[in-house]
Amino acid sequence: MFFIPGWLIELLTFPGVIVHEIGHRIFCHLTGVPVYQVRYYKFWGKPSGFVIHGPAPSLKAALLIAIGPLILNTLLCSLLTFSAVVPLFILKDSSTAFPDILLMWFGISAGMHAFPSNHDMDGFVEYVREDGHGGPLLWLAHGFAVLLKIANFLRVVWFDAIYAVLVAAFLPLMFGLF
Amino acid sequence: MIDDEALGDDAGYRQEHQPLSAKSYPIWIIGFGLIVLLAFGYSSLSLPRHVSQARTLARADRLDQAGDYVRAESEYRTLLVGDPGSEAGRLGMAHAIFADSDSKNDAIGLALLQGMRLDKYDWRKLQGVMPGEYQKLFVEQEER
Repeated sequence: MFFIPGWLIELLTFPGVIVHEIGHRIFCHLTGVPVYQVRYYKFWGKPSGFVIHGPAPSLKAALLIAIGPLILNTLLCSLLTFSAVVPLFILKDSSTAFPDILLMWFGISAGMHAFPSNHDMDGFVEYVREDGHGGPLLWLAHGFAVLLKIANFLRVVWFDAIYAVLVAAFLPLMFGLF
Repeated sequence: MIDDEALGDDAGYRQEHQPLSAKSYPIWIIGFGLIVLLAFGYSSLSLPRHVSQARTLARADRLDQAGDYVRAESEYRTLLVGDPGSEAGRLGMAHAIFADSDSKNDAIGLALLQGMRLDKYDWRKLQGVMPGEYQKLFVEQEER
């Protein structure tokens, strides 16, 4: 197991950070929540990306805004890498074109930044609590948040990269190419 | 509320800033998106051909594993005619050629491996079927 500083991983996979923030932003617009400011990516930025938006009008909107990156980044990772995985890793084509390498980098970067941050999930749980939801729904929100926090914690053992690779392998497996 | 990713509901901030339009994205984001879209378009053009070749490869590998080397060679040949750069196809073809009962084509199998770097797994797969005199060539190259 080897460790690479977080800032270096963010630099190498910065397209994923950009897609992550676009994911939050798109779902804000889709749910009618105003967006005031977006930082798509800033090297050495703390945080490197963020979205400032208005309050969510419903539980569904709060959930979609929180997990927007999980949906968008996962979809992009799966779609963009599909056309690149076949020549690069299945056929092992020695004359692989630059666009395939670009797509692979972009897709894996997107997959690696698919998990909503701990703050995203805290915000969602807070919304559920403040909106007066209790009982099973609050527990469900807590459970979901804990799962994603575990996923974020496991980034130290490359869980984000493992997730991206699994997502990239999904479509080729579905098509019976492995 | 300040989050590290989705900075949420900050009333003071909202009073000072106008909401962004759903279509207003920075020009560099649009440019970056266009490059990715172009790459995706370019790559997608060859996707049907690549998927078909990958299926041929999977079929050939299954036949090779089952010991049906003649049919496996035929499938690998089909693949390599369309994609002569496929190292997986060249490796599989070489394996089938070495493994079949006809040793007069073995030199072709060796030629197919020219210029390729073989990892341990590939080498182990080939070692069982490759003629001993060819194996020495690979060992010599490794020792240099």
